[in-house]
Amino acid sequence: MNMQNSAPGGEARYGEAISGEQYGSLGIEDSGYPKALRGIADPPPRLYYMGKLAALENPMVAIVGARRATDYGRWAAYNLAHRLSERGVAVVSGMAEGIDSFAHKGALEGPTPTIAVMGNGLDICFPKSNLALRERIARSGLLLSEYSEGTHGTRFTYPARNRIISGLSIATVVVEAGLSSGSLITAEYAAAQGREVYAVPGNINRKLSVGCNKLIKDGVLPLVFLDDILDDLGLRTKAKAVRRGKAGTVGMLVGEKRDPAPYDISCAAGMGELGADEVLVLGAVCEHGEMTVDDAAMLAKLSVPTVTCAVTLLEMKGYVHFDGGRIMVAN
Amino acid sequence: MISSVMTATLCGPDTELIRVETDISQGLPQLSIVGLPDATVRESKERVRSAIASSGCDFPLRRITVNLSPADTRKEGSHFDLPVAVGILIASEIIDPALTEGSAFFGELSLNGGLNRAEHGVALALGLKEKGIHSIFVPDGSIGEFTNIDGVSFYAASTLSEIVDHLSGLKPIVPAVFDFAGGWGGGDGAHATGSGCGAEGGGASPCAAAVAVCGDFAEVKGQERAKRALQICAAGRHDIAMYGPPGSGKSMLASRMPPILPPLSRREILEVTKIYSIAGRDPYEGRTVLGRPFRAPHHSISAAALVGGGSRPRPGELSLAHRGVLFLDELPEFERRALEMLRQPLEDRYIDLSRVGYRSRYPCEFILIAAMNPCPCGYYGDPTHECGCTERQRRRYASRVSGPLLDRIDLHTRVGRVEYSELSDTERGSCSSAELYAGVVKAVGRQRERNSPPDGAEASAGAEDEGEARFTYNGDLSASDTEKHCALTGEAERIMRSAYDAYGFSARQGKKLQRVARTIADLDGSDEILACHITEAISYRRPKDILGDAEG
Repeated sequence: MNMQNSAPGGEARYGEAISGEQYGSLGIEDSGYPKALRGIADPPPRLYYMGKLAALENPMVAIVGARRATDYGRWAAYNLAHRLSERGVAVVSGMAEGIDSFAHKGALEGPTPTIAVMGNGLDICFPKSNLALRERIARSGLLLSEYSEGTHGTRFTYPARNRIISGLSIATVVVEAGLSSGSLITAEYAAAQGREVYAVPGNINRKLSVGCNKLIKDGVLPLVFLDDILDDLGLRTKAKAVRRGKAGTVGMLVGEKRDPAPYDISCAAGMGELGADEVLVLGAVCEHGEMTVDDAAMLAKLSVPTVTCAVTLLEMKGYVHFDGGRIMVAN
Repeated sequence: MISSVMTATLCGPDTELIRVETDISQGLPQLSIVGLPDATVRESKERVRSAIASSGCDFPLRRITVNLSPADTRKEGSHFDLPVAVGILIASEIIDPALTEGSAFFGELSLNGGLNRAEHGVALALGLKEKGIHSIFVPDGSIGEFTNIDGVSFYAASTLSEIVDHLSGLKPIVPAVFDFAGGWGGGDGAHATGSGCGAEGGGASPCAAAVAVCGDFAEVKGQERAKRALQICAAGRHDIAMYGPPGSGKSMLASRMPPILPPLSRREILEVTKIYSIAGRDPYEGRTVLGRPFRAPHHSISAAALVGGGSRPRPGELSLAHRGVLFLDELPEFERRALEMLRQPLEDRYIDLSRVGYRSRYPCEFILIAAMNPCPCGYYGDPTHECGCTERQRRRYASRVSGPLLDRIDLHTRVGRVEYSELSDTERGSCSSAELYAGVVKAVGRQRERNSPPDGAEASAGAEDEGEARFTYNGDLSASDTEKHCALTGEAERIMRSAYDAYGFSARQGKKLQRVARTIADLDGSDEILACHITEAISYRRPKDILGDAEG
């Protein structure tokens, strides 16, 4: 392992911001160099890093997607990342705007460090708006790049780093993507590298779902439950133990796979945690999909205040996601 | 001889009693006015000279000195014409001074002796009443403004000679005395939402009259949640922010607010009328402001026009919306500086305008309705339109409205696009203004009973209000009153506690939601805040990832 703890001239500007953090570089021959990455067709000869190298010891899953994300995509990225992090999986992404940022943010809420792979030198923050996020990742996670300090990103470097994102990970999840999205490049790399690829399905009338849906058509695994991926990685049992330990916390039920049928309302009600109104509202939302409070009131034949009330309770119990306008089932 | 006549001038929102002293002495014919008159007052001598001559009296061809006392207060306004003229007539012994004891005069004179309406009449009359004046001589044309002021006799005249005839006993003017118990408030404002406290006046409900002007909520289809939120605002005087794509009905909803607002009480009517009078603007064309104001300034408004300003501060839109609604459409398009000025008034409900020599405090207890798009193109989060904005564009748009400002707004709701099928769906019930209004009146009644200050504290101050209790709307409850009236118990308390954890409320947001829950309970006719009330309130919290909070 080649640790360079003395700051070369180029890094000095950022020396203060990252004081106490480790930074340096790994050659492909170094023992710390991620094994998974060594096996890909075109591994970077040298990896520059900032943060905790220990992050590379966890199983890694990449979450990538569009920069112009919808609420749905942000929600999916955030929650999936959070869930993975809680199960000890390191989330890898590219720290771009949109899905990438939300994946990192979700992962930072969990205990496992997250890994950001940059398409520029580590002393440059791109996009600038993610300065705070970059700081958080550098402190508790890991920033990686194949480019040395001072290298600015170009239209070639960002697609190129996607091979590292997929190469590091056992699986890659595409959350939202248009037809010409860079995330599709990542998915291609992952498939070529023999890694698992998942796509989060979306509505067929949305531009940002086309990429994902097309991936599914081409044979990529659809992510139907947030926990699918944990099952496939064999992390489910561990997950259960963690969850039991924190049972009762608000939001714990988000994304939990409910057996036998996940949307069996009678089953949920049987758990004794839902009131009659909540069951009606949840039933309507499950059946008809995303809707407004007004729609739910009409479908469930309840008054608007009653529905509002039920929705808030459902949200706090983690069954739905409510943004002040539309109600969405929280998987 | 030296005469002395009373009138008044405005100092910010307050009225100062001015004594017009006139001395006629030997010397070259000359009329000089001293005592810090402004240009309008100084010019009055030309109008006074002609008016007296045209009224058939002799203008004394001697040395006349008019002193406006106290001499160090700036005097402004054309209403000084009448007191100066009357002063000269008394000093030249045409009018008996004894007859003007306890009387005050204001009005602008025409060269032909006619009396014209002058600005700020109501504010001046209210101030004079407080200073113990029992009769006021006013121009005939503006008598309509004073219908809400009781305890003062108004003598309305259309010419100076009518006043001379009255004071010399030739032809007395019948004073107009307005009595609340009796006949005021014929509802002469088309905008009127109330014809008195409690709206007991028989016939059509005040709501129905206003609906004819503003439109009915029933016309807004498929926005029941937003309507419910507005009803809560109207009942408890809460502020609201609505987010939604263009054309979803935000402005339509806001403009239908006046009819469902509770009727103005007498005291409130006077407050509102006074502010309009001071502003010198008269959107009601001389009629008393009976309805609750609805102000919707365009987003190009300057900061000073919004909060009030000028070297002698005049109230701005904030104060003109006092006791009514301030609707700020396209909130992020407003000047940043102007918006940030809203912070303190939203918290304290008054605004202090300090200028050299003046400090004016104007009230601004309005309901703020802010409407905005979620992003520059307007379609972010819309299920059918694709939003074409980048994250950065969204963030920049959002950052035009600061977090602290949004934090001060009680309710937040998204207003979604309505499908055509919903618009044409006749089965879908649409709550009408009359239904909403009935709920508001009930809830306001409950607040009046509960939120009134304890007996005695206000008894002296509000004695003339004839039992009309002053009370605080839930939205204005102080911290200690929130503790007292909005206490959460049992299940409600448990839910609030987990909501604090789940949504990371600030202390202010939490208290605001508690007050909103109080209003919801009032609408429900419940003494206690139940679990369903607090959960409904929580659903109106500030959404995390919309404007202002890109951190998600």
